[in-house]
Amino acid sequence: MSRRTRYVALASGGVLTVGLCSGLVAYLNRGIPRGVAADAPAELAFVPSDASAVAYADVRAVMASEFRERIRRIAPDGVGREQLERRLGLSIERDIDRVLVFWAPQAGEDGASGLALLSGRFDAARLETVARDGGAVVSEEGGARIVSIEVEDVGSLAMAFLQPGLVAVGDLAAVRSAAGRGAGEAGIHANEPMMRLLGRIDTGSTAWAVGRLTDSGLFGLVPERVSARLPPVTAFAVQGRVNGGLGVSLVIEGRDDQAARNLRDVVRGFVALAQMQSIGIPELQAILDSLETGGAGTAVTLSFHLPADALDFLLSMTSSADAS
Amino acid sequence: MSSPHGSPPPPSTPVRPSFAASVSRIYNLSFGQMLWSRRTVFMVLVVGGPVAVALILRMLVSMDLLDAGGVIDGRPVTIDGPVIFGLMIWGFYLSFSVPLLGVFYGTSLIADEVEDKTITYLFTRPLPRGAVLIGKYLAYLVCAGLLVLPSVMLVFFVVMPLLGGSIGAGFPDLLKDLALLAVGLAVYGALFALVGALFKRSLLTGLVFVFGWEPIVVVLPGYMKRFTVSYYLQGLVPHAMPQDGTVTGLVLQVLQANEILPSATVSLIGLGAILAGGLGLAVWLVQRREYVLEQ
Amino acid sequence: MPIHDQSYRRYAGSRNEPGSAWLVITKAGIRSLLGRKLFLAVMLAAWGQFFVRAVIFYLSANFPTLDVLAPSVETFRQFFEMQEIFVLFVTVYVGSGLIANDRRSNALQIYLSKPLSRTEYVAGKLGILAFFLLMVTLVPALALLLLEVMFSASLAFLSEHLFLLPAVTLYALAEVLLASFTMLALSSLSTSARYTAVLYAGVLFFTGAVFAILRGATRSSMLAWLSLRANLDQIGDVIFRLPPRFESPWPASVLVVLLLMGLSVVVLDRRVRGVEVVT
Repeated sequence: MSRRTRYVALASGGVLTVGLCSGLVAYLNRGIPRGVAADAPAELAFVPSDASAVAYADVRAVMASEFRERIRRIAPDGVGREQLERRLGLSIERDIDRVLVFWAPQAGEDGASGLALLSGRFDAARLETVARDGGAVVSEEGGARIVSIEVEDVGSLAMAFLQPGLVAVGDLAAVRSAAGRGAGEAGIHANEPMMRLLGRIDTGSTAWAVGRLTDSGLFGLVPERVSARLPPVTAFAVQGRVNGGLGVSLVIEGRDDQAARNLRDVVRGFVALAQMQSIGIPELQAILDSLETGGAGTAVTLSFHLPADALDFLLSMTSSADAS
Repeated sequence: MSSPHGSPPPPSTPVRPSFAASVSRIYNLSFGQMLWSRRTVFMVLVVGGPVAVALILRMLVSMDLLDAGGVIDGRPVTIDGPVIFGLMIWGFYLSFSVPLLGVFYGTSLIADEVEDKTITYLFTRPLPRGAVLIGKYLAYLVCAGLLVLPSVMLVFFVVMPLLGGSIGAGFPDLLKDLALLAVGLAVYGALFALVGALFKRSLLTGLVFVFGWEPIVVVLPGYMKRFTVSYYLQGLVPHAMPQDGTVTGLVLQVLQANEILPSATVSLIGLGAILAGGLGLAVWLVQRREYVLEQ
Repeated sequence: MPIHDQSYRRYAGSRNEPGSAWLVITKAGIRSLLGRKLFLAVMLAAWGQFFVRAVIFYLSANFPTLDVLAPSVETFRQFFEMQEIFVLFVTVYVGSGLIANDRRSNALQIYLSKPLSRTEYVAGKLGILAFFLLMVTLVPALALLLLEVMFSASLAFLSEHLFLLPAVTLYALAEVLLASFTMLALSSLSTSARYTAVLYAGVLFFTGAVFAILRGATRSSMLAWLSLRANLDQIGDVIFRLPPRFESPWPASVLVVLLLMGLSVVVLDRRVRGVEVVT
């Protein structure tokens, strides 16, 4: 072997060795992914580390969108909205900017409880007065005022003003837990699997939800015997972008590569079946044509885009079905 | 009657080197020849092109000309480092470089010697003919591996961190990809070594197989696709097969839904059989065939 | 009277017009290739689509219930698309050794020592490849058009789509000339037909792969001009009056094709010489 041949062999081998070593080091120190969307809501700080699902909606963006306008044309707002505004002085369109909901297991109890965090402009005094008139009691936890009420068959429901412009609504224990969360407490950022799922959410998504389907069932809400019959899915991440149309992207994580492959086959099968059923309905075909399935490793992805025209078609179908 | 000076020393009998030693000698001879031939230009194109494309993509991302979200043919898509790397492994390496290198080098193991009329010099040496083929095959494998695998490594480190991708998270896939490409080079090389030993117009046969037979048959239902190498490679590939926007018709959706990829075990058995069968038959043919050189 | 006179005699044979010598090379090349069984098999396979489409045309013309199979402009466009793989095989089989083999055996000097100009030599070689490529593109396409008229016993389709005649001819010529020029230029760069063949296939598929990757990453087909095949597809759509399939402007594809042919001519001009001056 000549000298220059040996040099080439050494250089190639060197690139391979250095690459493999660097990759291995990166793999061992991969830690928490940094890929959480840049516009991640600040309310994530109130989500505990053991949360099994988190959902978020940019209410202001949804309400201001053409999508919402199209729905309103077919289904006008009901009287509930007016009542809400008259009694609480709260307009969803005007006063609420964002909503973040999460589910987390209750300490010492089976199952999970949810908590909604609403950001916007609230008349705290008026809300508290209305609650007190309804029989609610007020307490304090971690400097935040908590208004709670016992509801038959449901338990203690509570509302707390965590910060100016941030209201937590949910189970009393969950509200207390959120109100008492100190700055040093481990939050969702310490939950690597959840952060990895959050990393799948793109910047600019109008609404999204991520969740882990743990062994104890779907966020602890579904009995184990039922969840055992569900497809071998361990986590999901869904996100939507609302503008004139609606773009939705769903990622499901299977238990292993084989399970994910099976899921991909099932999804593709359904898509193919739906496409066959949609022959002769061009509007529906346009929607199905926009469906894209894929994924790698344990992930299964499904995404679609509903253009404004297709949305009109679907909404008109819904309204005609309601009319009949 | 004996000579006063004693009996003359018996003529020294040439020592026939062992099969392994013969393979080693041919390997040493062929490796340098392969690396420093005109094929190097072709090799540079094959392995340097993907690296250049990866660098261009990285430049586009750093100039904010490329972002993660977007729409293709009305479909919302999310493109990040791992997706681009998967695309490049499929588009550049598995569908293009590996089969083409296999065809080019595999068919030329014997054909080049015949074309250059130098096969006589090799076959008149006290070396088993099979060792000539195996030695050349190993030289091809090492030569192609030393150029293709580092190229994949460079592409991985350039592309993977793009748009939120993580080198650490993608590392297991890289290992699988490297192993898969090495297996692909070995299997395609063995198959086309057989084609080279079997046919006179071996290159055309190889091109027809790689660019005519495989792409058509692999999407057909039934057993036909089992007579391709790419079917078994697909069973091992960690990246999901990217959908081509131009072929996502109803027919293909139905075909994909019904397509059953082989399990990793079946893939390994299939690839092993092609490798062993191809190389074994090629050796058997080379040992028995009489090469008549054109004057 | 001397039995054998070795003194000066005037040439008594026939004289060819200057510039017609290329035909000799073309004729000899065609005759040589037609004598190869494997090549005939490739040509027969290339005509397979023609026979299948002929049957479909017959069925659609004679059975009204099968009018969904009736030919359209898209039929002819698809015909060319499906012939692309045979264009590759024929180009590789016929073209890879056209100049490379002459360079390998030093026949180029012998050729050019005859009353044959370099242009005539290249034209002769080009004629061989172009002839066989036209045999698998233009000829079957025109034959299909003729069959449609014959089977339907009507000129309605042809008169309705009269532009198909020039479209088929123009596209076939663009495809054939691009393949012929690029392959000849590559053939002139090497002394090995095998290397030339792989280089051609490599360039063709590599440019296609580059475009596919960039298209996937940028979600745009603006870079279609990077791919040899995509350029022809784009030009084909425009010629057949169909919506272009890529976002890139079609004049860019035309420009790339013309540039490639121009580059090939320059390469041929530099490489096809009777004497190679080594500096």
